[in-house]
Order: sequence, then structure tokens, then C-alpha cells
Amino acid sequence: MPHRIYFITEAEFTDPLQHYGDVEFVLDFEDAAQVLRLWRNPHLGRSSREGAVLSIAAKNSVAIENILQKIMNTYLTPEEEERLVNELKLLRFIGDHVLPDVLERVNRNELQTLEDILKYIQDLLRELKYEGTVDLQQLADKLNQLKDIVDIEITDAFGRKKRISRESVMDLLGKILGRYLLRQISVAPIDEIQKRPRGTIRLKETYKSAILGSQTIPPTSVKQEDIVRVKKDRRSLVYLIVDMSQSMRKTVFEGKMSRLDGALLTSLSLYYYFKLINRRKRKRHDMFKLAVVPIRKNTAVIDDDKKMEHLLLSAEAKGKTYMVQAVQAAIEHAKKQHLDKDIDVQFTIVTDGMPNVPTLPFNLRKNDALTRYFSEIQTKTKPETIECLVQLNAIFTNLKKDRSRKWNISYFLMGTESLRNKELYIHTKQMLKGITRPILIDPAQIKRLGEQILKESILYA
Amino acid sequence: MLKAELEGIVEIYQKAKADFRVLVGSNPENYRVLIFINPELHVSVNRVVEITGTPQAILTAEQITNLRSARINDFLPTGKETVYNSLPTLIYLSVPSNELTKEQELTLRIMLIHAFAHALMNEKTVSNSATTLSKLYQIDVILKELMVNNVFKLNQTSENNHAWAWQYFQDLIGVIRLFTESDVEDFYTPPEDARKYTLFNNFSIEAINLIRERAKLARKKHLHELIDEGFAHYIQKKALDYLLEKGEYKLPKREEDKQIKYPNDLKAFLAPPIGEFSLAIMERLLGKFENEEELFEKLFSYKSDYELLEEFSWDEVKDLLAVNKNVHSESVVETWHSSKSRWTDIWSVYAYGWRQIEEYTRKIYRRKYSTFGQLLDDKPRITSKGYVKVGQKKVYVFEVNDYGVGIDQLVILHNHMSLYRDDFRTILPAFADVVIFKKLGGIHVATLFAVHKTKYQPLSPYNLPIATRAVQVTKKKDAYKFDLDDEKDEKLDVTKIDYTYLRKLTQPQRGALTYLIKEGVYEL
Repeated sequence: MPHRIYFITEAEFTDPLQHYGDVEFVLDFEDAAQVLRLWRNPHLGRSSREGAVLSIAAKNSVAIENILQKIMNTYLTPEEEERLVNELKLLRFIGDHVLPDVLERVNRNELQTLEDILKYIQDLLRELKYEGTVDLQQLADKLNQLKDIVDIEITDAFGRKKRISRESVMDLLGKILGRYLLRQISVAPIDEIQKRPRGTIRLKETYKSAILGSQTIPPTSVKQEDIVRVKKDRRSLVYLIVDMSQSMRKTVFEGKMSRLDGALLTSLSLYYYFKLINRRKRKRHDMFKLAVVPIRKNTAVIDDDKKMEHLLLSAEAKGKTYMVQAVQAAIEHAKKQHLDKDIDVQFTIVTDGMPNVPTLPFNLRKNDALTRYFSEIQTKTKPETIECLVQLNAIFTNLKKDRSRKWNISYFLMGTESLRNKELYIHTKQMLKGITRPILIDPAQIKRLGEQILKESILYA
Repeated sequence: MLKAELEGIVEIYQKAKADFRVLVGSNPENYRVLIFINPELHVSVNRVVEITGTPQAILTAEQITNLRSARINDFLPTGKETVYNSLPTLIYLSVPSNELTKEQELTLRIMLIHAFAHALMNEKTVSNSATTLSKLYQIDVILKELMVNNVFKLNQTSENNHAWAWQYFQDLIGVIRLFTESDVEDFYTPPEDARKYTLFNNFSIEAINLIRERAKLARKKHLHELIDEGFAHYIQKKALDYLLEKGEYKLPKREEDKQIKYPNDLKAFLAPPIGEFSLAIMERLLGKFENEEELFEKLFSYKSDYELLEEFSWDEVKDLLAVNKNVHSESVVETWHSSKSRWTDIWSVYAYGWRQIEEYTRKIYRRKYSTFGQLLDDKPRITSKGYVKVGQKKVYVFEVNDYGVGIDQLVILHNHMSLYRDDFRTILPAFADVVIFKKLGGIHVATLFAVHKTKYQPLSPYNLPIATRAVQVTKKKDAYKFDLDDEKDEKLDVTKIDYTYLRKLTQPQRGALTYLIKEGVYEL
């Protein structure tokens, strides 16, 4: 039979070792809360650590099997051969001696943190020093894979698993949540704005005025005067002032997620939301910058990754509500930023109660009407809380008067609709009179908090 | 354009064909040669054949992950030729470099002759090996098509993109293949009339039927490896001697012992124990016959390796193994490996190869095995060990051997439990919770998968609340006595645990099992 030659492309003959379905990881808010919990508490997640040991073991045994074949079947250079023989020895040693021990320790909860693992590796190497069975340096390198054991296993909405190291948890979570928010809401809808050399055109508005001009849909023509241009980009500083008092410990709906978890994740998602937005648009400077100000005794403004990570890891729901102090810290911080530029400042306050620690001394002029209101009504609200509300009102009013920059304030109250008849809501509303109105958010909807904050405060403020 | 570049190869191919005719007397007719321009692809195919037995079989996600990791570390053997002994014989080659040197020419020629020998054997043999392999190949292709189409359709018809579908079907097929091949009875099949309800049911019924057919065929396949390899290596050796004698190629000699230095890429044909041993058998067998033709006719007439080995007494076989292993140990390390490596390091690898051959021959000779099914039953990849009754429900217990399915894949089985869970709608089978014993290198491990009741609508078959635990199976006294546990709060006090439905478990296995049940099965 004469030979015939056909050509087959790789699309027709696909690589059997190809991973299919390798698409974006979709993480639910509740899944994210679980990850956060695992991250904050290394004692949890033993079963995932056990799984990690097994998967290392499985990987090793596949490697051993293949190396054996390779030594017999493939021509090797001396260097390559040396490498494979060493690998083989190491993998066998790890599989036969190290991993069984590691599994047992994981069972006993003795290997929970990176430090535990590193110490274990060190001890092991010291023990082996005198036996001389394997090359210690290489073994040490190889043992580094044990660090994977304490990685956090995350499962996405489709149940796909991924292991991430502790250092990269924040980045990964933040990106996933931030991107999720981006998909819900875009602060600057890019498709509506066209950058041209001679300025920026707002397409939607342009289109609208063209329709108005020609009275038909679609418009017959877009005239020069229809084109609406954006004059300038204003920069914004956003301060997310988040309650971290004791009451935030309450859990929301069935899951184990607490209000604090929700607040932290929301902070993280907003933080990354702006980070991502800034990266999207190619600009010399960041359009938005978000800082988180936790409401707690030691007020601090969280404005970089490191501080953020620390906050996520260490935040606890405890103590009183130091809201006045937090607001003051935010103002101080804001006043130091971009002195030369005309910028907007957005304060977004998320709380589930009223402030109860007034600041002293307090020099701003207090609102007489508000003072009168509190003195006239019968209330169980404590005097220090009332003092706080009056102080807050004074601070906000003062900000509104400030001509040097534009201050926006929005105020979110966590609670169900029934809260509207309670003192908490009524007092807050009084306090915010002439400044803004409080927005109620249902804690059960906490996963939509970020979206809501963006919609109600930053976009349409 | 490519055709022109392939001309060199075609030329060698024609020469190899002519050589083969001279050496054997006739040429095979029924074969395909597939030349990979991308060598990585060839390596992948080679691994798939090694693991599943056919080039088109679907691997599970875990197998793929582990192999990919081995590939990244450059641990995978990079053979230049893979022969799949079906009818037509499939010959996979990595494309040699553009300009062939004399050595490469010789290598290619020998490789082709080797492959032709396989092809001829597959055409002439009375054994069912080749035909079965081609049927298996077809079934695997159909399964793959079926899977691809279903993933496509599933993604097309549903609103949210089922990113999990591909992996899910891979794993499903991998797991069912394992269970069916090893004939684990408890496996559940949906009834025929479930077909009309969903695409998924239809798929699983089709797939299960195909896999069942595949398993039946595979089990009946004659064991034919020694004959195949023996014949091919015999012809290959003849060809090598013939070509060198003709003087067309001049190979350098090594300085130390004046032995011929064969081209590097022929290592896969000249070094491994299987070639050494099967060739030795052929040569010994030749002594029993008048001439080669008679030997070949005889080889074609054997149905299985057992018939081949039967020509000898068991002492003879043992002797063949021992003597050749010895001879091999003296030469192979020096011939094919660097002088820098330690002899024991390298020889241990070959000794491992010899051990496998010894085990194989002993089994088929002593127990008179002639089919793959018999060999499989001797050491099944997965065995059922019965179940434990915890309250109302059953926890199934299995033992998986090294080459069985990955533990992760068993999560698939969870999905099959919706017989009693009504929140995820597939009507597939039926192991709600499982305990698996498995040896991984030096660890003998027991793993539990337990599924909790979901409080939400699962988005995918993987999206289930699963408790997994793993402990070692050991004889140690203080094993399973750790003080635990941070995540204890939800644990249910299970009072009714019935262990009477278990069979053939060792004492340590029982220990591990009891521990896992107590620790892991709660609130189901």
C-alpha cells in the first residue's frame, strides 16, 4: 500500500493533559467570610491540612513512578541523571518517612501555622544530620513544599478548589470581591466616556441631546452642539468609617458570619474596588482613594495594604463606639492630603448603634436646635450618647461650611425596617438634619452592603 | 511546505519497509504512523497509554494535575516512539530534527522496524489482544465525544456557565470506569426510563453502558505483552545487526571495552528489562524449532503469554529471569548511564523493572492466567469492604490500590447519593459517604468523605458541605487517641453504629475506621 500523508492540527488532536474549564474563580460573599475566618484563625481547617498532605503524597508518588520510567527509557545527560537520581531519593524519603509523620502531626493539630512547619523542618533536618542518607540541603529545599499544608483552601461557588498561601489571601479575596463589585456597579461607566485628544465626550448625554434635537430614536444625526464634554475629573478621597464595637459581634442570618465579618469584607471589597478602578484607567494620579477608619478605641486611618492586612487579621468586635474620634481622625487625615488640589472627600459611616464616647475638649459651636430637641424629649438614651450626637452634628455642619474642599457625608445604619420607629433611628435622623439622611441596611443583606454604599453615597451623592 | 520537510522521514520509512521485507519476508499493511511536531503532545499521549491502556481514554482531573506537575519538574519520560497494539496498529513518533544525521537515521529506521514488527504481530496473531484494543480505542473515542458534546450542550442550555462541567464529567467517567472494571457490585445505574428527564441522565446512562461494555471487553483481552515485545525486540535486534553488518552505518566503539556505542535515542529500545527478557525468551524458544519461520508461525498462534511461557518448565522460566537479570545488571549501567552515578542508585531502578516482570510471569505461569480480567481480579484497583451503618445511613468502605483513582475524585460519588438527598437533582448512584483505604508511598491512609445536608441550593455537584478527614492506618498503640477538636460543636452523638456489614478488614484498618466514623460523621 502506498503511503499517504495527512495533517492534523492540535485543535483536532488536543493535549490529553490539558486542563479544561480553567475559568475565573467565583467566590461568594459567604465563602469569602469562611476564608476570612480560616485566615484569622489558624486552628481551623484541619481537614484541609490533611487533604494537603495527601495531595502532596499523591503528587510525589506519581513523580516517582515517572522518574523510574524516565531513567530506564530516556537518554539522559550525566547532569540530568544526577538530578533525577537525587530527586528520586528525596521523594522516596519524603514519601516513606516524612509524610506519614507529618500526617500524624496534622491529625494531632501540631502543625497549624507556618512557624510550626518551619520548626518541624528544622528539627527534622537536625535529627537527620548524623544519618547521612540524603543530601540535607536539597531535602531542605524539597521540604519547603510542606508549607503548602497551612495554605488556605478556598472553594468557589462551583465547588472548585484552590489553595492559597496566607500571604496572598488578602490580595486574592480583595480582587475577587472588588471585581464582583465592579461588575455590579461601575463608578465611571467607561463605555459612556470617550477620551479624545480634544477632550472627553460623554456618549450617553450626547446621545440624549441628539435624540432631543432630532425627535427620533435613533437620532438622525449628532450635531456638534449635541456633544457633551466633561470639563474635568475631580479627585475623591473616600473614608469608610466602620463600627467595630461590641454589638458588631452579632451574627447575621443562619450562617456563622458576624456583622464584623461583613463589615471587614465590605471594607476590603471597597478598598480593592477603588484599587482596581484606579488601575483600569490610565491616569497620572489615582482618581479615588479609599481609607478605612475602624471605630475603636485607638483610632487609626487604614490607607495602605499592610495596615489593611493587619486590620483584617486583628480586628475584633469589642468595646464602646468611638465614632466622634474616628470621624476626627478621618478629617485630620483628609486635610493633610493633596493640599494643592481641589478634591472631594466622601465620608461613609457604617454603624449599628449610636456613638457613646464624647471627645474632650470640644471647641466647635454646637447646634442649639439639636440641643433643644434632646432636652425637650423624654428618652432613655444616655447623656454621653446625646453629647456625642451633638458633637457629631457640630463637626458635620462645620465640614459642610468648609469652602476649601467639598465634603460629602453618608450614614448607614445596620438594622431592619422596624428600626424606623426606634430611638436609634429617630435620634440619628435628627442629628443628621440638614446634612444627610441615614440609610437603613438590613444585616441579612450584608453581602450587598458594598454595592449599596457605592450606589447611595458615592455615585449619586 | 511541511511535506517537503517530511521527505527525509519518508525516505527512511521506505528503507525501513524494505529492510523489514528482507528480514521477515512480508510487510504489515494495516497501521498508521502519527508524527508529532510538538513533542510534549507525544509525551502526554504516551502517559495516557501508560495509565489507562489506550491513547484516547479520559483521565481524571487529579491524574492530570499530578502529571502536569511532573511535567513541570521534567520528570516525564520522553520516549520517541509509542506503539499502540490495536488493529490498525497506531505508531506515535516524535518528529526528528530537520536534517537527520546518520545516527538519527539509524535510530528512526530501527524504531520503524520495531513498530512494523508490532503491526505484523497484530495482523497475524490469533489472540484477541489487537482487536480488543481497537475496540477499546473506539469506545474511548466515543466516550470522549459524548463528554465533549454534553459539556457543550450543558453550557449552552443553562444560564450560568457550568465551569465545573468538564472536570465533573472527566471525574465521573474516571470513577465509573474504575468501579466497573473492578466489578464493584454496589454500583448503581439509573433506570432506562430516566433517560428522558434530563440531558445529564441520558449522558450518564449512555456513559455507564459504554464503560460497562468497555470493561467487559477489557477483561476478556488476552495477556499478550511478552509475545508482542518479544517479537518486536527479536526483529529489532536482527535489523540492527543486519544494518551494521551491511556497513551502511558506522557506529563508534567505546574506548574501555570496544563495545559498540548505540545511538542515544535507542535507549528506550535497548535498555529496559522488558526488551532484555522477552528477547531472551525468543532466543531460547528459537532453539526448540527448526528455523525462524516456524518460530514466527508459532508466535502468531499463541493466544496469550501463558501459552508462550508454557513452552518452558517453571524452573526454566525462573532460570531465564535470574540469568538475564544478572547479565543485565552487569552491562546496562555502564552502557546507558553516566559514570558519575552510583551503580546501586541506577540498578535499583532496573531491579524494580525486573521485579514487575517477575511478578507478572509468576502470576500467569503459576495461576494459569490468560486474560487481563484474571490479572485484575488478582489485585483489583478497588475493592468493596462492605459498609458501616450509622443511624439510618450507610457509610461505604473501599480499598483503592496505588494505580487506582485519586481520593479527590471520590467526591463524585457524593453526588451520586441524591437518592436520599433531594436538593441536587441527579438520580445517579449512590454512595453517600465513603471511607477509602489507600496506600500513598509510605502512608497507608484512611480517608472519610461525609456529606452534610445542604441549607442552600447547590450550584454544582461539587458545591456540597463535605466533611473530609484523613488518618493513617497504623498498628501504633496510641494511634487515634488525639485530643480534639476545635470544630466540634456540630457533632452529633451517634449512638447506633453497626459494624457488622464489613468484611475482610485488618485490625489497624478497623481502628482507623472507628476513629473516622466517630470524628467525622455527624449531622448528616
